[in-house]
Amino acid sequence: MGADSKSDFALVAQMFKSDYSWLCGSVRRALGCPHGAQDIASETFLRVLALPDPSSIREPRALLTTIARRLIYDGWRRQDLERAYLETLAWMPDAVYPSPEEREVLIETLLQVDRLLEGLSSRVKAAFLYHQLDGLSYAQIAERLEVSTSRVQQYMADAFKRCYLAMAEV
Amino acid sequence: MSTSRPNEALIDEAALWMVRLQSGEASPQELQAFADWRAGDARRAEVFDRMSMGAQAMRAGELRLIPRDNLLHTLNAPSGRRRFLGTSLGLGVGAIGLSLLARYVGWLPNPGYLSTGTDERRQLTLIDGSTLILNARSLVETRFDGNQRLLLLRRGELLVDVFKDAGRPFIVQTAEGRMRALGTRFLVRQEDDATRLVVLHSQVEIATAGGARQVVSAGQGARFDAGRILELAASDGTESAWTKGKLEVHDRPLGEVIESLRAYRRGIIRVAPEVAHLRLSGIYPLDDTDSTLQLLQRSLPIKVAYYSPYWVGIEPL
Repeated sequence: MGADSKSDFALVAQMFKSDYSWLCGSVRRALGCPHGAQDIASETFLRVLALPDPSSIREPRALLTTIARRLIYDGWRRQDLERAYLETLAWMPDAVYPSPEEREVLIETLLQVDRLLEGLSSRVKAAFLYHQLDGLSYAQIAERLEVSTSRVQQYMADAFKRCYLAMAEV
Repeated sequence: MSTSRPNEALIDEAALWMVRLQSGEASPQELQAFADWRAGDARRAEVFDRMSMGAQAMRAGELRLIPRDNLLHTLNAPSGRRRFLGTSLGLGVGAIGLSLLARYVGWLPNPGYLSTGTDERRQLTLIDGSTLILNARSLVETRFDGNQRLLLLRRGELLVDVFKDAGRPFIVQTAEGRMRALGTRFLVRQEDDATRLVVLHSQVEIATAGGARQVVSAGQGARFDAGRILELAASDGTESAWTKGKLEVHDRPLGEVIESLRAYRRGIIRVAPEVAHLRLSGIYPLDDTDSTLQLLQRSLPIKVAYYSPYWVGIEPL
């Protein structure tokens, strides 16, 4: 993977020259913070450099915008997830706070699962996790969520469809 | 991806089959009906296999460590700022396939982490000259400084051959505790809620998170959790066979043997509870799990059923 040939690198370098300031500007307007904007813009170009075939890029600015947007989403979502996770530790009687590194790995995993389950209702997520992680039967899940077994089957079908769509994006 | 996108109805059908198959209650007739459905159209197989892979991705080990309520609360965290961004950075992006991006955004490896995927082993020389072998589906973080050489085993299994450096102790840390090398060669596996250590040469000292200590000598194996040492016994010498691509077992239950194979196979292997306790001995290839499954089928009263390349069932005859 990656732009290892010189011409690919030159192509992205050219793109950097012509579009970096522009990208910084639009990210800055979106974020309202010049510092973060430069980080995001730089990271965006690194991601472009990692694309297998930069010469096939037809609309550089549309591509840059999409990647930058995804990076911003991910960064925010990561903060949302991290905050929510730390909240849950407060409920625990003897919470063992994860070290910064442990937290990093955990949040990364959470972010991936979150992406996989994006758009599903909280009940569907619950049913799916009870089944996939805890091995509960549909009947047990129905009891826990206080719904009918056929409703649980509907939840599971929704989750499996989402699994397909998430994988089809990859 | 292929140009003809599978239609919504096909995805619905595949999901209903998945629901039925994963209920654990599908009858032999239903399994046959499913096999017929799947074989009827190549797109069905493709959709079903992708769906299996997605479901499989959910089963990350780290998630099991989080109490379920906490996990649900976390994943249900609202994302308040999305809508705002949607309008302020709203350029036309229709020309870009999401598929192209999802592949490259957010999936790059982190610096400082060494990892292996399914069906992959890696041997590496660390910067201090020590040799590290990582089993499949493992993740290690290296933290070396002037005072110590620390490896954090996040998941999976490793074998390390420590290069002598009297001034800097070599330590492997897992969820349950730390192991300090007093000698050279040992093996550490992160299990679901315990750590397994096998010492191949010299000695290693365990310090559990709860403060229990134990020195383990060459030829011994130990299991411990955060609180205490659970087991200390002579090792049967089979534990490091994976470094040579083999799985060696002496009188172990089938369920446990399949657990060791999982890191070498994409997709789902379901072991019927009726056969999980069957015991076996032997040496099996790790890098060719299909052959291993065939070998198992020949030596035990079981049937290996392929519902798809990503979904194998091990059932009573």
